[in-house]
Amino acid sequence: MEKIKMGKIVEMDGDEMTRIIWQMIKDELLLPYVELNTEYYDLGLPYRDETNDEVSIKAGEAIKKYRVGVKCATITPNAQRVEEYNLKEMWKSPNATIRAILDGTVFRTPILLSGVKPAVRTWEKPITIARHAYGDIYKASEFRIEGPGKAELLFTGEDGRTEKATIYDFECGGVLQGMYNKDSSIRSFAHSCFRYALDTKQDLWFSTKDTISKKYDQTFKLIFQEIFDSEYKEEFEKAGIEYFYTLIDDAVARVIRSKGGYIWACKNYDGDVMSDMVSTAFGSLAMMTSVLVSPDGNFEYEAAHGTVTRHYYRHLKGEETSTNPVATIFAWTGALRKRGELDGNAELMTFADKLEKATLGTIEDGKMTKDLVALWQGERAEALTTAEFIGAVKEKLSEMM
Amino acid sequence: MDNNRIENRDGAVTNPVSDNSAYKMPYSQGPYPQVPEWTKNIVISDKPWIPPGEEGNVSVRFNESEKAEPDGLDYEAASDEETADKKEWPMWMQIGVLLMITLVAVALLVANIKARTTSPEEVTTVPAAVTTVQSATSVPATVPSVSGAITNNYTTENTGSDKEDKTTEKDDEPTFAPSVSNGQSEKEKKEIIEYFNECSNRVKAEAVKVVKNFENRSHNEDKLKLPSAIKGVAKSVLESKITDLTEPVEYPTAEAIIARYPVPGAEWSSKLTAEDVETATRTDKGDEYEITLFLKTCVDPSPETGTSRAMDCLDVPTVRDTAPPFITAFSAEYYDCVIRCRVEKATGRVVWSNYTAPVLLKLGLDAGFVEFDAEIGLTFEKDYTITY
Repeated sequence: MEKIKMGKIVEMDGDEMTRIIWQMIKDELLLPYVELNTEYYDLGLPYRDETNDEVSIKAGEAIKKYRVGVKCATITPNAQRVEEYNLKEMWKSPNATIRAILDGTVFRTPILLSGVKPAVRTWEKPITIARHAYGDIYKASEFRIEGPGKAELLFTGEDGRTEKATIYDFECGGVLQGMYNKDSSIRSFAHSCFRYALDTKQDLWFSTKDTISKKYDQTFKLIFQEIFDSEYKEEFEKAGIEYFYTLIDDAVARVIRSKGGYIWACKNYDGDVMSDMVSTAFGSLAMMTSVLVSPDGNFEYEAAHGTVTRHYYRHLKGEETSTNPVATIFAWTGALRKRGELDGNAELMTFADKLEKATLGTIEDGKMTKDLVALWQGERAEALTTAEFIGAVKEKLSEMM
Repeated sequence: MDNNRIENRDGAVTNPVSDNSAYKMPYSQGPYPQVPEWTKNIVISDKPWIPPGEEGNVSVRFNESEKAEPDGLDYEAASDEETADKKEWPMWMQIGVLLMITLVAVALLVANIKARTTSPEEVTTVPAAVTTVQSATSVPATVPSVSGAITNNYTTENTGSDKEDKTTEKDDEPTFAPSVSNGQSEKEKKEIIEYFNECSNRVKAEAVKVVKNFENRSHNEDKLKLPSAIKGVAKSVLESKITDLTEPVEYPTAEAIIARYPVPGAEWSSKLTAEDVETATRTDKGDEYEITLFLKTCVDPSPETGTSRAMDCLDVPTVRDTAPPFITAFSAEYYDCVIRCRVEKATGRVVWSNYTAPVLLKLGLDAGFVEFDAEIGLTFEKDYTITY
């Protein structure tokens, strides 16, 4: 059988157990069928350290060039990792670097299985969380007040103009926090959300607390509405999808009673909290896909989970592990399908569909990794090692091809 | 899409607990939680907790309420006999209880407002002859009445809209005071506010007497939201209780002025900032300036925040803390508030002032087996003459 040809995508290798799985997926599931055309970047921590993290920047720039990338999970170093890997310094998260280069938004979507019932009984379709991963409390300045005094908010313009407001006249100790966001970042977030909604043909929900935060959250609301009205309204109507704004508390109440099947755009903190809630309620973080979408239409796919360090240490000891590779497989299928869409390569898109079906079909047949056995509510569930599971998927895929 | 939506839900102040009894999660009967694993109560610290054994009491919703949801997502208990009996209470009894709760709530609000505006031991009624003189002084012919100014400005500055339309805006849409000064710079606005603060704060420091010429109190009928069955009665109660205080009241001592002139109880009258003010104008009137400040919408003020920095506002956190248990939610939104005053150029003293404060009160009410939300719109206008 002739291998499927494809346009170039950016391949970003990663760390630990996911790096092992990455190669297994390529060898067993992709290379037998696809003439993989990738520009390879090794984002494994040793090479990032060797290149002073230049490789992360180059990978981000490459995604801008080729518009599609697929990334393996990577380590974000902390003090312990600096020591473990003898790093020159505590490099930034490559995800943050690439996100900054692409100015993109991360969309996380669960992969649904018939045998893993969501904790919320009415959820029938995936709920995609779009988190505005910039600013707010994650870039806040804060300190503790030890005694009485006046806290003021001061802005000094470039021209020397100042604006000042009293935050609170403290009569006792307390805490104080100042945070910010930028119109440009909110605009990029909005564009990414609207584009991804059109791309996936799903309704877009957006929520803030603008009735309380009449300047800060109101700005988010107004920017989204302005961009929607001026640039996306007609396209949404043609696609038969809707943009729906509501208060965050109302959104939570609706989400918990909904059937799913939409994108929920959240401010940074809300997205942080809600993505964990949604992934847990749908089953497992191991079954969450993640895609970074830039406002100008670049896509980077990866698994939402980390590098599965504990399994890696066992792997190094020579033990077999049962690490769930589904989200990593879906990162590849997402990237291949997007490349196919952009290039009009139907064969590649069909292959991506088949690989996803083979993966889910294997699980529906009762063959899965240990983490899913614990959640499985179907008739039978057999726990396989990672290699066995990928082998079972390969077998099913070969039947489909 | 439609299946996911809960139509007509007013998100602005809605208390999820009062809006959705599923949050109360009975243990053994009635509605099932959305998450089947939730077999015990999860207590959210700022929401009322329904103790075990009383869950059935919350399961009956008032079906004619404006908050009744059209998607059939109600949470009625089906099997429990005691609960079933309560569910079948006749409609007249439900209406009676609703009415009683509303009247008590209104009475509490009125009592609260009266307590803030009247203090017999510190005030003196001005003789009729003085009243005439003071009233004439307080609203000169060249100065339009405050209510007129609001209407005129609104209709001229908001194309294609009028005040009627404005009242139908969604609650999550901000309502701003009409703009009276197109193109006003921030610097100019700040200067006027600082001048106003300076002059206004002289009242409590230097005035020998303040006369409250009148106090208009009105109920904004088009803002009233209640279950239709009791709306008419509640409206007439409001109209009879929310009435004007036409008799002038004199504050003849420094203590009385501090206690009663805005902001009551404070030794200052204004700490407004540019953030609190939508527009500020200062008009040259010969020997005097006339200053007009349109304030920004302020939700749930506490002392020295937003509108409370210059006006007599409810201290919402305190009201919430002291509210009776059947008031499950309370919010106050001050919108289109206006301060007008005249200042002697030579002395920088405020000689006349007028404060207009429309407020939308939003309440969640819960009688245990029946719950609903209410909205009441009130407007207060106070007019003062100051002597030094």
